[in-house]
Amino acid sequence: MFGLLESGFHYFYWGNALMIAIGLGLIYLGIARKMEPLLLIPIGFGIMLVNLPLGGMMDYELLLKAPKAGTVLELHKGEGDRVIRGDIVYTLDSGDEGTPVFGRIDSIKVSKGSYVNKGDIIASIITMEQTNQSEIPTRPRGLLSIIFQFGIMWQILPPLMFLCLGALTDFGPMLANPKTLLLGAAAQFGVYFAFFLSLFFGFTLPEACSIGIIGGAEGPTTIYVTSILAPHIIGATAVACYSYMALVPIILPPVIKLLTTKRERSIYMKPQLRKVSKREKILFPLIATIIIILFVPSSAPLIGCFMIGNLFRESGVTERLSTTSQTAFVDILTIFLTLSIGATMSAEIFLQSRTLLILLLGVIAFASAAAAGIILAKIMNLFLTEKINPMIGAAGVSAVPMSARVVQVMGQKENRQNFLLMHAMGPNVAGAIGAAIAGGVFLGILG
Amino acid sequence: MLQGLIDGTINHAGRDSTTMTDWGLAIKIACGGFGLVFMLLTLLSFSIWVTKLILDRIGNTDPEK
Repeated sequence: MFGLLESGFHYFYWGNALMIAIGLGLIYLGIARKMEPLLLIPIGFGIMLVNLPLGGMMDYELLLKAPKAGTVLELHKGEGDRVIRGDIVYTLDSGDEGTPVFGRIDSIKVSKGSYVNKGDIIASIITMEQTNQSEIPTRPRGLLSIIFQFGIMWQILPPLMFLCLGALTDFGPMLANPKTLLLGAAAQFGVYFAFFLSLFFGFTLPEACSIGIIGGAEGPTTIYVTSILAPHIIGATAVACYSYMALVPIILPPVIKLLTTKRERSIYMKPQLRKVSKREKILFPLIATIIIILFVPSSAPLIGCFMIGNLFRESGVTERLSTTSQTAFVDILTIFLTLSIGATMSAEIFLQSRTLLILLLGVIAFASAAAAGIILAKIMNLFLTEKINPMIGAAGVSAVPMSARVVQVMGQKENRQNFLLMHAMGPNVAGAIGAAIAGGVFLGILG
Repeated sequence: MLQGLIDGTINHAGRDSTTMTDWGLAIKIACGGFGLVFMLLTLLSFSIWVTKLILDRIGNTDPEK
């Protein structure tokens, strides 16, 4: 612009416009419809920021180095040129060399005819692609890429977020009725069903694990697993998980109605759960930590943080830590996590057929998780004298507390005397533990 | 047995994403993983029940304030 300043118009294309529209759509859902506003608004804004070209907030620098010594015969790209994966950037006397990422050429360090040694820098490319750092190392240059690299790719933010979730979680309803843990376990079927389906659609094993874990309906778990196993699809999996958590009031009811009769939905459950002692609430996170991590050591960051957060809440002597974890700390982490996740969704990364597949598989994961919980509840009723309302099985989809609220509302519609909220909270929080274990299992095998 | 499952799958999995899907490994991951999650949560459920029994027996169950 006037030869002084480069504007983003030159690089703006229909993909950016579409992604900005999607970002605005998420912001609309958050503000106007009040659907998970704390998550959807920063995610939507992050999407907008990264799709305004040359903003640089999610930039990574990749240094293209000469694989062999030789003479530069030809330079096919110049500074400012856009490149896609595989584009030939230069030719050495040993052959053509291409770029492993999409982006734009930031600078060319050599000229035609110059001799380069192995490892000499030929060019630097600015990309927004999340790469496997051991194969394609990049250096973050933008604000959000730095937060993403050192917060998410270093696996710091998701476990800390889980700590805050532990501080926010009351395990009382689950402890009052421990068999609801089985419903939370059954709901993890959605994880493995989506895992299998993903393989049928041609995703690799690590990608299938990252897509399957969406079915755990836990944002931090999804981000944590995907950042290790398949960071290149982290945007799609995280947006799928958080969006479907917000859409639980739309996803669950048809599944519940399909798998239950009106009579089953009307099953009355006594509103009063047994009193859970303070000692039980203190012992639970300690016992759970020891048992789970002994069996699945790779779940230690998630389960360990979840349970220490819960212990802060229940111990009665760490009020300050509990209050901080439930308020300021979780808000700070939410801002960092969601803004940087939103910023992973540039048009070049998001607008691929596999993204639509991931979104489809995500909703299948949620629906099958709910279905599995309901089916197990119905099976359990064959053996129980005091029947459980099978709808609470759907609350094993651990979008806490939204799933439980959906079950409460549907229960009230069938029987106004039926207060299912606290009963549904049992499988709801059990599902959170189950999702963390499932994530740990994936990481233990493939991480 | 569990450690053998995990060790065997780690040796197979590797990090090469260009190989065709190993369906045997996938079935092991899915069935073994789901089974492990279910078993662990069942064990946890049992532990909660046992903890309550023990606390009731030693008579130190304080109702929550």
